[in-house]
Amino acid sequence: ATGWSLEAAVDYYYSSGAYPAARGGRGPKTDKAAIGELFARYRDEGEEDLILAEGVSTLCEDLEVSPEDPVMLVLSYHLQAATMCEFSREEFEGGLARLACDSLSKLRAALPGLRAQLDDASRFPEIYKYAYLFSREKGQKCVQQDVAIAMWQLLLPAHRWRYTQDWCDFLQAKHNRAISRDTWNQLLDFILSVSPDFSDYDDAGAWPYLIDEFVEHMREKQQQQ
Amino acid sequence: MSLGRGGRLKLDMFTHPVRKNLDHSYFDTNWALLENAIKEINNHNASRLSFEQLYRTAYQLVVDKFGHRLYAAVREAEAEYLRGVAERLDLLPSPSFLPGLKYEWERHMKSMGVIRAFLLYMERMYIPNQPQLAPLNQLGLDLWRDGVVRAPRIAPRARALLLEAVARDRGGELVDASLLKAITSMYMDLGPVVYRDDFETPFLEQTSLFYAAEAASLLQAADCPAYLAAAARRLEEERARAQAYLCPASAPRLLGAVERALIGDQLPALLDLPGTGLVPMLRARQYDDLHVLYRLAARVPGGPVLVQEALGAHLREAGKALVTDPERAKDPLAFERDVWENLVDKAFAGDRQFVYTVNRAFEAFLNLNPRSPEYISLYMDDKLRRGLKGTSEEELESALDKAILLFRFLQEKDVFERYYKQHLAKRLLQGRISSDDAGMAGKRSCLTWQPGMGTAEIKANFGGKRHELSCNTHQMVVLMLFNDSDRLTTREILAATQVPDAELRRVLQSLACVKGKNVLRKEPMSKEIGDADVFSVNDSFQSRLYKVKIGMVVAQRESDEGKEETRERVEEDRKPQIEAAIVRIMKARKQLSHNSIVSEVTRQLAVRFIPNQQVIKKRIESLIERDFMERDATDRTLYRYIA
Repeated sequence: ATGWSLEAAVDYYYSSGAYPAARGGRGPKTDKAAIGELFARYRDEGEEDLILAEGVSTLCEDLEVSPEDPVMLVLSYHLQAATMCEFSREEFEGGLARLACDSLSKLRAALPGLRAQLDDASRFPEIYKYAYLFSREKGQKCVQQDVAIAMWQLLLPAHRWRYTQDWCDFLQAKHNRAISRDTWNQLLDFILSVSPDFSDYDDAGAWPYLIDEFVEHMREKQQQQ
Repeated sequence: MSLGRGGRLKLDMFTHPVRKNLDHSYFDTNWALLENAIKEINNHNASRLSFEQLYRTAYQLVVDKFGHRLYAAVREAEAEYLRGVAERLDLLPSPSFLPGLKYEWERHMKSMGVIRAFLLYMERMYIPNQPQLAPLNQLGLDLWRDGVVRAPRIAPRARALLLEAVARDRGGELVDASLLKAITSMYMDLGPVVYRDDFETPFLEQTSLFYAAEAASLLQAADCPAYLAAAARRLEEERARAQAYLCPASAPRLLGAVERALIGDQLPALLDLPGTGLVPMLRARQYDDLHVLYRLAARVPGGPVLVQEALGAHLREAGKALVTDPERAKDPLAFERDVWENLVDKAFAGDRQFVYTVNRAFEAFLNLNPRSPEYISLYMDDKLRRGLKGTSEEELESALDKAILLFRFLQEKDVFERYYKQHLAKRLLQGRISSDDAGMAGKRSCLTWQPGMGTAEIKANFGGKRHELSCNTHQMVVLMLFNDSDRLTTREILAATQVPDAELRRVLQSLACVKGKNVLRKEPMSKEIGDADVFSVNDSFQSRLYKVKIGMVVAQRESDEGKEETRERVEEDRKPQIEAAIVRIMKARKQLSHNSIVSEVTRQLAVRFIPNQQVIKKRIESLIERDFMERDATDRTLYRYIA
């Protein structure tokens, strides 16, 4: 709903009522100094204002989650992290303040709520769209196919979309090029709006050609069975 | 009594108005005078009557309030008279019947004129105030209609004899047209409803039946041109007939009925007549007969469309047979574009709908064969290479013109251009440029590097005899290999020279398989080049000439590889054109649905090629990726232009 604009995302976040403190109608009472200390705990030795892969890994250990846990993606979404495995000081401190988490225990306690947002129909599309931006390598416009496939497998386990594996296999067999942001975003629309047997799929619709080809591929496959 | 100045007696009647109302016999007495007069008039004995006396009598009756009785009495007297007329007519034998009817009608009309004259006062001063009473002229017509024309023993007879006369006329017998004209005029005078119900409708029914039967018997001869000529003749006759003895308004209805029966109902059968129908006429180029068909078909609703459909179907089928024939497909002149243009001009009067039909058919069949663009270019290439050898400049020019006429029907004009460019490049490198090329060369500047196109002169030694060989670069490269080796296989030569496979095989054929130019010896001796074939210098090569020009075996058509390569290049060339079209459209429209964009792009590019929907889609996606446009946030099938 906000595209990739930090301010808009923050506004949306507060107005949507997802943020616990906002619901009480009072400003967050967080200890900024304590958040600053947390940042210092994870920041990179060589970088004053950055948490890098090593720091993220330590954070995961402290939170007792795997780095591959999709909850980390939701957390990154709330921190509005621009790049995978990296938090800037601004992102980290601002994000934790908005989440009203000024200690590890509070953050740990917030994780179940964050994880539940993956199954929240109003929140998931935002997280999904954010995941594309987050997955781009620095300076790249598009996400490489292998990264995209890993992300899909993370975000779209079989209970969210029954064809995730077919889709990834199809790409590896037929595509093997970068995935455009349009294709990424449209795939979720496709999953949410087209019936599982593809009977209502419009070939002349405005779907990206990769999805056209996927549907054709799946129809052939289903006919053979 | 005499008609003339009135005497005293009559003037007294004005001066003694007192007597009249009380006297019961007053009306009867005066009416007796008038009734007698009416009888005399009807019997053509009016000369003895005094008009003035009659007029004054009638006048006085109206003034004395006997108008209604007078009117009724006149009506009854005239009706009585007409009953007698009907009886007389009924007794007439058939040949005299219509003349009798005409005679009585004319007499009746004349008498009514005279009667009206002395009843003028009643007509002017009394009848207009009585809405239920018809004016006297109308009364005369109504009485005639009801008492004579529609009398039970007259009506069917009049109609039958009239229609019989028309039938005899159609059968070629001489009939009294003035009599028929008088009778139909009588019906017209009785009013449009009488004319229609009593005459025109049965007349048109008979016409339809007559011509349906005539159509059936004409069709039995199964000769389309003869049928058309007969139909045209018949229409001309009916037009004259309508003029001779019909109400002018009937003419279109009469001709309509004839056209429907002779043409409209029969057109499909006519077009399909085996041996003489549309297709045989087209094949035999019977322009005059086709023109008659064109003119007649234009006269019935849906007729031209029927002819166009049959024409289009035939042309598509004939064209398809040519374009799918592997040999004839290569000859653009086989499609006879010029002949068809000429035919539409002559047979179909250059009618735009027919031009369109023929053009659509050309487009349909020509593009059935994806190689048509290549063949047209190849044909022109061949002509231009030969130049004026054995042909006049006019002949060459006309052949090229005929081939280029087909260009506009190609959907993939860009493919043609790609081939034309290639062929032109080869002609330029081989120095086979002709005057016609000169003009076209200026337009196309992009030439590709053609390594096989250079020329070289090689001095060679064959068993002691020296020759100078003139050959192209590839041939030279192959020959040079034999400075270091005695025997080489095809595979080895391929590896050493890296000349493309298909090209190399033609090079080897030109060096070893052409009689008189076989500077290499091939084992085994055969026309085909096998991978393991062995080549060596032909020591026994002999030629009367010191300089030997080694030709190149011509590739009749492009190899499959080359074809694919051309195809790919064409597809690459199309990408920026499609993108440019999309951007152009989006810039103008700011936002547009997916389907509109696809159809608009297709429309704009159709003059050069028909872009594939999936290809357009890929270009749209690429433009989205490059931020030229974006999808609408809520409607995913809507695109927005990003300025």
